Amino acid sequence: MTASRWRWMRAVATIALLLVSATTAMAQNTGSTFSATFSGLVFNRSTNTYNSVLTLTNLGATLYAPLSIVISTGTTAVTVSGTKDGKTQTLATLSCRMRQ
Amino acid sequence: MSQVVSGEEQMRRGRFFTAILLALPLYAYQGQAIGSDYDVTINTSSLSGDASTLAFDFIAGGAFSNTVTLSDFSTNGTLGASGTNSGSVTGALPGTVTLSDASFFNEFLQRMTLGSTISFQLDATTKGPTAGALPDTFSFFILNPAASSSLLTTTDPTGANSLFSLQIDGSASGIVGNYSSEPPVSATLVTSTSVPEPNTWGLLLLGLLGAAVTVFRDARFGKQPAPATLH
Repeated sequence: MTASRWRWMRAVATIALLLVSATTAMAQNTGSTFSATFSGLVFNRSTNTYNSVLTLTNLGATLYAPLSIVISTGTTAVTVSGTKDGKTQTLATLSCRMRQ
Repeated sequence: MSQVVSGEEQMRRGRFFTAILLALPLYAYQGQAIGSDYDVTINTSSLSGDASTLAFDFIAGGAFSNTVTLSDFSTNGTLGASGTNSGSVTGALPGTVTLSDASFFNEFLQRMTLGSTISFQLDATTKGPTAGALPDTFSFFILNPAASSSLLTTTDPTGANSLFSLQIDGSASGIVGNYSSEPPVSATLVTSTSVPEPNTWGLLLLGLLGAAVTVFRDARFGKQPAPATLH
C-alpha cells in the first residue's frame, strides 16, 4: 500500500463529512433521516478530473428550501474542483422542497 | 483408562486422517470462485472502419483489494498496438488482461480499427467499500486514437462519456451503468453462466468416502505395515 494511496483514501473518507444545511430562518436537523451516497469515480478526459455522482435521499419529513449542499474534503491532498481553498465548496442550492 | 493401540491400527488411523486432510482443501476451495461475471458484447457498427483506442479503467475507492479480469476478447476489427498503460495492469489483448486496485488509477489502452462488434468476458471480485469509502469502479470508453477524448457522447451521469461502468459495491452482481450514446454504440452485459462447481457437501462427502474405503480395505485384507529397514 503506497503512502499516496493512503493519503487519497483518508481524503475520500473525509468526503463523507458532507454537510447538507437548511438555510431557512429555522434550520432543520436532518439527522439520520437523510442519506448521501457517492458513486465510484470515473475519469473524465475532457476535464482531467475524477468524477462521482452524489445521490441525496430524504428518508424523513419534508425539508424546506433553500437547501445548500456543501462538500468538504478537510484536506488539500485531494481538491474539490472549482473551490477557492481547495477543500470546501457549495455544490448546489436547491430551491425546492424535498419530500420523503 | 488407557488403551493400547497396535502399529497397524495406528497406520489405519493415520491414513484416515490423511484422507480427511486431503478432502478439506477441496471444501475450502469451492467457496472462492465468487464474483461479478459478465459477457460483454458491443455493437460498433456506426463506427466501423474508424481508428480508435479502447480504454479499460479501474479506479480504487478505498482500503480493499479487488481485481478485474478481461478474457475471451474477440472482434472483427483489427487490433493495433497496446497503448501506454497506467497503474497495476498485466497482460495484453487478445489474451487475458488483469487490472487490480493496487494503484489508485489503473488503465489498459488498446488501439484498434473498429469493426462491427467487440466482445469479451468481464470478471470482477466483489469486495465492497468500507464506511466512508467509495466503491472500486470499472469503466469502459471508446476514445480517439490519441486517447485524449471520447469518440462517443454518452448519458454517463458523471459526464465522463463512458459507455458502461461496473461499481463493485459488495453485492454479487455489482452496480452496472449502461449508457446510450451518440453516435449509437450499444453495450450488452449478460451475467455469465459459470462453470458448474462441485457441491460443497458433495466434495466433503467424496473425501470422507475415500477415507472410509481405505480403512475398510485395510481391515478386510489385513494389510501389514512394511518392515522397518536400515540403510
